[in-house]
Amino acid sequence: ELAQQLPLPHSVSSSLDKASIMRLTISYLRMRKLLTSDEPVAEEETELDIQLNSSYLKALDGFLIVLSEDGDIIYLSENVNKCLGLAQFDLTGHSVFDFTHPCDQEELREMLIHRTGSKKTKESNTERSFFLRMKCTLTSRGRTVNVKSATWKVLHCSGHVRVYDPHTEQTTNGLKEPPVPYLVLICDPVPHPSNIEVPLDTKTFLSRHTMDMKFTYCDERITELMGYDPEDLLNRSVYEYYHALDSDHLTKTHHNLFVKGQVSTGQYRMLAKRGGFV
Amino acid sequence: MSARNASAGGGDRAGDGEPADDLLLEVNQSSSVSLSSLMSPSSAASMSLSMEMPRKRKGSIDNQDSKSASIPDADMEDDENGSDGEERDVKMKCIREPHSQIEKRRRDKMNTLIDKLSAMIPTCNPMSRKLDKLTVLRMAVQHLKSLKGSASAFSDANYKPSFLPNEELKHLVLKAADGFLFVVGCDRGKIVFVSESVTKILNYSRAELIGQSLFDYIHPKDMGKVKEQLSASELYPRERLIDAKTGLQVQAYLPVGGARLCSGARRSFFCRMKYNKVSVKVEENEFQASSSKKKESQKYCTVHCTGYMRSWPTSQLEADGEGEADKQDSAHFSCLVAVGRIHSHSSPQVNGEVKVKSTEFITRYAMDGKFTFVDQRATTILGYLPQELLGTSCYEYFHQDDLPHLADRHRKVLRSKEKIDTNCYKFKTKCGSFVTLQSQWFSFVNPWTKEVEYIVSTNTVISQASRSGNKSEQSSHSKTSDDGKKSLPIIPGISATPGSMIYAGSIGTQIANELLDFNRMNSSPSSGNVSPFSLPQDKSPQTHNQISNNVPNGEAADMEIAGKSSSEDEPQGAAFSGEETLMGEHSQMDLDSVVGPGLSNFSNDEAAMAVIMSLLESDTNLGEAVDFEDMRWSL
Repeated sequence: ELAQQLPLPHSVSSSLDKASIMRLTISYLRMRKLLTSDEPVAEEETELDIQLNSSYLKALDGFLIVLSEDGDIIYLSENVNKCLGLAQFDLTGHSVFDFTHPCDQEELREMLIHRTGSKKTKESNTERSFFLRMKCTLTSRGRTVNVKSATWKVLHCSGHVRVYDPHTEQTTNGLKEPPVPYLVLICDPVPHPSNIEVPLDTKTFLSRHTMDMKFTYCDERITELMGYDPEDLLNRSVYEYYHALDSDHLTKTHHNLFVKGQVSTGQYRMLAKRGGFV
Repeated sequence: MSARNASAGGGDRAGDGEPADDLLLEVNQSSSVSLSSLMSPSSAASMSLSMEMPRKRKGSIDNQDSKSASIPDADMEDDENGSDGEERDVKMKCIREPHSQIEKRRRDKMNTLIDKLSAMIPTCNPMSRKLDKLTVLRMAVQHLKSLKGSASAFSDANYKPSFLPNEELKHLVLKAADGFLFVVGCDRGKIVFVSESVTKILNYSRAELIGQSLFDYIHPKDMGKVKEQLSASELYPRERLIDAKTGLQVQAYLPVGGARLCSGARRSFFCRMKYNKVSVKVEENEFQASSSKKKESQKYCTVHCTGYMRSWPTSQLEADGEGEADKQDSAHFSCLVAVGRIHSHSSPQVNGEVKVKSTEFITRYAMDGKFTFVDQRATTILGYLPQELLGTSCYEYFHQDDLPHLADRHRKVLRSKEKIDTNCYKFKTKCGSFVTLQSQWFSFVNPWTKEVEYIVSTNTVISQASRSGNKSEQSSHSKTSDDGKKSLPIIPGISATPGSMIYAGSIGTQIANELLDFNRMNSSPSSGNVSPFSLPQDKSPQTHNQISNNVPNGEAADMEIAGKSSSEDEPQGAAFSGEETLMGEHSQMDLDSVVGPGLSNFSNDEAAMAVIMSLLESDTNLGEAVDFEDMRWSL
């Protein structure tokens, strides 16, 4: 009976077992709670607006995930199965640590911590951006396999820690609930060069490196972008071309690459042939 | 079926007085077998029904308090059935343990879930007593119903229920990232739609943007890129694919023409978009032309756009009042629906001041100042490879002016257990120039032998801005050079015989020797209160050092006398100094033979050092000062 009450498609709700129903109900209620604290939408929405609301999810490459402070998945968007092969409702309510690589769990725990700023009104940084390995049951052919034989997929997770502050609500016994922080993340898969469904434009070039970042191959598109011939670059470490101020960030990214397997850098500056930075 | 056999066996055993658990196991199994047929549409309703049945059956058996609430799960069935086939006796007992544990776990899990649920439901909360599960569930159902009822959006006929309605999804997305949705037409780049959140990000209002060409708001250099992404034409017919196995690029001539523009094709790119600076004084800007206004506020931020292609029936767009002649021609208007996100973390942190970690490196010295370890970072700073420095005394590289100070510090650090800071001093690099360093020295004492094992030095490169340290060096230098011998550094405690220069390696070793002698003297009980090594006095060290100062140019007689006097001076350290003088003689002779008179002619002190080093290497702590008259510091 409870399952019928959940706003789920009937096909799904009829195949849930008890524990799952409980899980989903709890998550649903949590989500409602978190979202109702928002400011109401001031402007009225046009029709187009309403229509396009549905395209948010489709437009995103990755999926959305909302985590509680101790790592429970409160909400997971549907397109997780496109990305990871796992089903939305299988995961909701479970702890995210069940699905992430053990070595990344420490990092994830740190991300979940929300330190409220001290009284000196120091705004704590709510942004989070990190790489996480999650279980992926998609094979290269697009089929799904069992969770037990899942591989790891590297996701670039970026988002914010938001705090749900129930100070506006009045519970019946007058007790104020403590503010609940939660983490909202968009997890993008890091594109693998062999699997690019998005066409690369002329401003993108491909290059291959040895483990210490020496060029072994470079696309010729680099010529018009930076002036180098690919042969110029061969066997030279790409660190020679990084801007000094970015080298810190890039070194960390390089480390991350070895740990996680895939990584994407932020913006950085690279030396062009005739001087100046690109 | 094995389960039935098991139950039969269980039934037999019941009469033997087996604990009820065993029976329960059987009952569970049998009931679970029957349940499996019911489980196929395992909705909650059927579950609750089936729950009744085992309850009733169990009710007829004693001792089932512990198991009354257990719900056989589908998983457990498999476990039980599978394991039943084996030897029942042993297995039954084995299963009992984990089985009960599994049961317990499941119950606990359910209980916690029920608790959580009750915490969620507002009506449950104020209840003082703990509600039983069924009530909690009922209240949950009611609550959900009420929530459903309040949200009107659900009543849409086309409503496909999803866990979260789209609107709230949008909010979530906005919470996760600073993003906005935009729809642009592919042929001209006209912005068809932009979401509300764009004002927060780009600081343009919605009305400003809708209808404009996207290219007005994109950095000029990115225009080509965005055009490509939007375009349908095949400029690059050869898709570059990477063969996953070999990692090589494969040129594939794919019929990509249609694929690029078909609905659903994805796009992902980065571009720079203009954003409006917040103008505080609007009045001033009124008189300016709009173009110049844009010039002023031409700041760009990097937006990561991900989206997909979609074709819109034009009729819909016309309804918005933006119909154009072009659009009416084509039946479908293809456009890109994308979410643009700002990744502020990915842009380089520009704090105004560059946070450069101060270049520092760590070195370790033996007691006498010889390098025993050099951090690899030293190479970028000093130019020497670690192996070039190892074994050489640090005093070779210190600038002349800094020697007194550093020697003093050296002495200090050997005696104290705390970190000693030096002032800024100059260190000679490989190319001959000097780099200003400031070090922190710390001596590490072996806790068992109570000897100084080594000195750890953390050296920081000081930029030229700090001059104060150098000045103090200057003043001290000028003081000590009163004796007229300007070219000779005077190091307190190490006196130089007239005409001799302090040899670099010797300084360190002498200092080390002092300490050793000191220790030896202190360690031997009959040493009395001889403490000649108090810093200000430095008398006997001086004499000691004088003794150690060998003059190779034929003052062997002195040497011997010196050796004797040294032995007189420090009876306890006699053996030690005896060795030393012996070695001194030895080295002196060696020097004479090897170096000969040419020692003074060496303009390159390094070569001489190398020779002497090899001699010194044969002993550990003994110091021989080799006098060299014309030995100059190569500056």
